Amino acid sequence: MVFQRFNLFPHRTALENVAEGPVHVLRTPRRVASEQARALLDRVGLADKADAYPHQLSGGQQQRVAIARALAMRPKLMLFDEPTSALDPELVGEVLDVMVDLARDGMTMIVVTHEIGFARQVADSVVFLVDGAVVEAGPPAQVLDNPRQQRTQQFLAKVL
Amino acid sequence: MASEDRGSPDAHDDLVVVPLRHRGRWVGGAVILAVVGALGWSLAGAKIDYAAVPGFFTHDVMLRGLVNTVVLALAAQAGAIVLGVVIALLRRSANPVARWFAAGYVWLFRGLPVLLQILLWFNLALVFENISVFGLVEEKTNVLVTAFVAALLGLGLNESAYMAEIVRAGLNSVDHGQVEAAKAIGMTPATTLRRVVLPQAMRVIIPPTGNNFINMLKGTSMASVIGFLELVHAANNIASRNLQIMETLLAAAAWYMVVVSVASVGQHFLERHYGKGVAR
Repeated sequence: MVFQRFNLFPHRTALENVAEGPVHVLRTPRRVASEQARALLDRVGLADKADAYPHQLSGGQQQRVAIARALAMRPKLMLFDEPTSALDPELVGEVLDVMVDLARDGMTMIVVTHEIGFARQVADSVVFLVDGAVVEAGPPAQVLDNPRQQRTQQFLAKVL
Repeated sequence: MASEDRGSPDAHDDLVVVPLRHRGRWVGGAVILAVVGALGWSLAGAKIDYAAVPGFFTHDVMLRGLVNTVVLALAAQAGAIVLGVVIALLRRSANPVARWFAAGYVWLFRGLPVLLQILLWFNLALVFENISVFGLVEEKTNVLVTAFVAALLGLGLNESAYMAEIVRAGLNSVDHGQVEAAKAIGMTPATTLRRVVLPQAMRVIIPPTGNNFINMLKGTSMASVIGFLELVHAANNIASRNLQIMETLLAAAAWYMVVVSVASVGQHFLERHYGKGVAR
């Protein structure tokens, strides 16, 4: 699970944040977990920030650490709750790039997002919701490019 | 560029720069120094045998009193912290009986004066001759509740009620997103408390706890009433032999200042440790 507001543990470094789950939930030996954590930070492009505390990182970097923390538990499925909506517009790209990579590697992801371009590029299936109810669902080429529902058309006209 | 020379430093060469005068500060400072000086002068001239104080400071009985004061304060505070965490957790429990119990506990032990609580515990033998645990172990109350135990219970239980409130404030200060994040990586509630919530709550818990511990160190003096040999009782003991009451009390006072100063330094380092990860 990746949160809108990152929810990193502020009293632990980036590396400790990523290793926390493996060490204290999966009972992985700390040395092994640290090595895995370092590799995961490298994967999200933050190998040099391993010893930084969350408050020393930008929003985009924090969110990438949060993604590494979620990956450390070797999930079959990942949930992203508006992972880029709390970020400066300039930092959105670095987080989306990491998620595109994950998708390419075959990770199953359920992503709540307003980034329509990202959804079109990455999603296998798009579900458009209003007030918690499904309005339209299908492949992105259909829902995003040829929406049938008027509500979907209205939304896309405003955000695109 | 050179069309304006108003900003040039040479433009006002004829003006003398004078620092702003603060006459009120000089007057205020002089008054304070005069008062402090007068107090010091009268203390120096008082009928106190200052030369005797260092001897009482290192007197055997005084040193035993010092050790007992520190041991009692540490034991009572440690017990109070453990109980305080438990009561704070009960107070936040989903179980209404647990919540009511915790609220009643704080109401009772915070509401009674510490000295009265110490006296109640010390006189427990008047109402319960023996204390038994489910009939398994039985012991005379007089043997079990010594002056130390009575003081420990009185000070510790009162302090635990305050600690419960301090810990509760600390737990409430941690963002709920932290608990969600811990749940998302599969942590149990107990691990979440130990690894995620409590370490962050410590930042809020430590300053008032340090404050309370300093109060606790001084509060141990109340145990002198039931004959526990802490610093004040030690001073009284020594004075009863030589009648140098002020001199022995001053020696005890000096020890309190030393112990409290050490505790303040310790608090500073604890705060620095738990301040990790906070932007300054």
